[in-house]
Amino acid sequence: MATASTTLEVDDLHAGYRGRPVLAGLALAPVRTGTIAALVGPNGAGKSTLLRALCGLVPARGRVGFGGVDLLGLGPGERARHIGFMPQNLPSTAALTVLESVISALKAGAEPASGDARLRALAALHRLGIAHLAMEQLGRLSGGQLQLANLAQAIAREPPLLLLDEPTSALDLHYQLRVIGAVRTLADEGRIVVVVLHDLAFAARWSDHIVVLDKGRLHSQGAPQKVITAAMLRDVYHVEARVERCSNGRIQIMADGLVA
Amino acid sequence: MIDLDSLPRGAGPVPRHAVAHPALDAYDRLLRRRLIILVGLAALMAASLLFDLAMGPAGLPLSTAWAALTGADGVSPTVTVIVWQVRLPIALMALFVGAALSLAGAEMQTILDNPLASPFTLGVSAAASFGAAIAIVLGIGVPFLPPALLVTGNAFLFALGSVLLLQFLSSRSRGGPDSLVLFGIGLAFTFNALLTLVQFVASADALQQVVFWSMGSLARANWPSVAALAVVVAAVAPFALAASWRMTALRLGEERARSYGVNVRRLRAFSLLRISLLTATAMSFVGTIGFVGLVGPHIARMLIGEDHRFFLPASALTGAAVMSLASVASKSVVPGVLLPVGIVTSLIGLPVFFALIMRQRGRA
Repeated sequence: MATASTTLEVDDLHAGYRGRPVLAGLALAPVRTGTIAALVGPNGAGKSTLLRALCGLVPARGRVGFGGVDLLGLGPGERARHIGFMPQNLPSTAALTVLESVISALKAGAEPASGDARLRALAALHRLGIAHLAMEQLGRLSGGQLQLANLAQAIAREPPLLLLDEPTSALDLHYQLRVIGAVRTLADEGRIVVVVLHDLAFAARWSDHIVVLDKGRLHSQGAPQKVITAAMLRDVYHVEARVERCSNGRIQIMADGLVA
Repeated sequence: MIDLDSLPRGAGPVPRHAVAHPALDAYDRLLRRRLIILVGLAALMAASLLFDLAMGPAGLPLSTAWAALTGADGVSPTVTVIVWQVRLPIALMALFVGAALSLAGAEMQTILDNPLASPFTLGVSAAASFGAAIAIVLGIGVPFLPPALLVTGNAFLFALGSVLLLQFLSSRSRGGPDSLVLFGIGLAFTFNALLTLVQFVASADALQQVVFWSMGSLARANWPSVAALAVVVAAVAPFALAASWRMTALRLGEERARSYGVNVRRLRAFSLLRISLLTATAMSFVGTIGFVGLVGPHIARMLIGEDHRFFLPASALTGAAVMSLASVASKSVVPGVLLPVGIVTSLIGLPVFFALIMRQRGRA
């Protein structure tokens, strides 16, 4: 588990695919333990690429420090102990039960996790409130239940850094709140969570720190109230909008139309 | 007893029996049930083998076949020779071919993430047929090989080559597993066209041999070929089993598996190597056997799920049983006539293939 002083530091990060660089020299302000950092920005801004680069799924160079370790320099097995990743568009066609899917997360890989995998897997399900679904087939779950099962696979190894790619997209309101509530708890326990979100008001409500990416570059970052402004929406999304701050510190966004 | 709330994070040292939860008991029951299914499949396979030994031009009662097999007293030498020298190699060949093709199909479906992948549908059989055909018709083959092994050797080489070519093409393209499947289909068409070309220039005699070879028949089996295939299956299977957790994780998505630290590229490469060895050896001895590699894994998946520790052995056993039953059917459908077993497997396999496509469409 990360100590209270652990930070995630990204500096001069270059990442992309063969012949198509996406991020060129990205630098982010340090993110501390207990923080949910939301990545927002238009489609193609490089949000998913940033997550993939952090967990070694796309070639990257630069410096990604995490608690004194350079994440980019780690081998795949070592990295898997530090990072839990939840990609977008997960297949649900595997003929596996929920418990088995989490057990395989613990057993596969260069360094299988220690301890009784069945217990660890069940404990992960229990923490997300889905232990009763343990013996259900993945294919039988609703979209929201499936997303919680996916999150359980990502946290089974107790990684101190969680990278989640649009965990709440395509979920109904109930499950959006259940998933983000679980993420909030995971962060409060002493993790860093970096999460891609599309809904800006949702991001502002639930995250502590917002990073706005645009065309592979950092546009702005900071506390939600500071970052989500009419000017940013015009700049990045090309949308005319009013941003209203409610008395409880929450934000409302009313989009009026596209920039002429 | 500890409950889940008080379980320490990471749950390292807590013994399994200290925690009571219905899901843990249910999981243990599930594992036991799978073992029972594996034993049941093995029993079905053994029963089918015995039937296979008893059936033939000289029909034997099951008890006599069993007596001849176990070397009991009072069995006539003729019967012993029929069972041991004629029928047993063929019957065992059916088992090993079924196991090899079905295990190869199961691995293929997992690493390509495509339920329609199999050695037959991805052109490996077509390549083997073409290799056999140029040996038969043009006499072209592996140098320094005894003439008796020319056809077999060529079929092996082309089957192996086609899988390696598939791997090379897909590593060169940007697409994922989907493009590998498309390459496979392209290869199947290419080799079929080349096969037709060779057939066009073949003499009537050679043409007949080529056609017979590509129908797939167990009648060519003998003890050395059975032994060779058995060695390959026995050598390859442990490596497949050793990769079973990584393959199970791959079913959760490639990126997900990679984020656990699984080297997916390596996993795929070694799996393709196993697939090519299994398929090439099996096909070089018996010719084209369609659909066992497709149907076996699907039956296994329905029975046992996709925990590959159980799924891979179940696929091999199912394939062996299906192939053995097809061998029995090939002797009994038309009394007195031994149909090429490749025709029987295709006739059984095609309806299953269509059913799978329909089910897929229904789900999409």
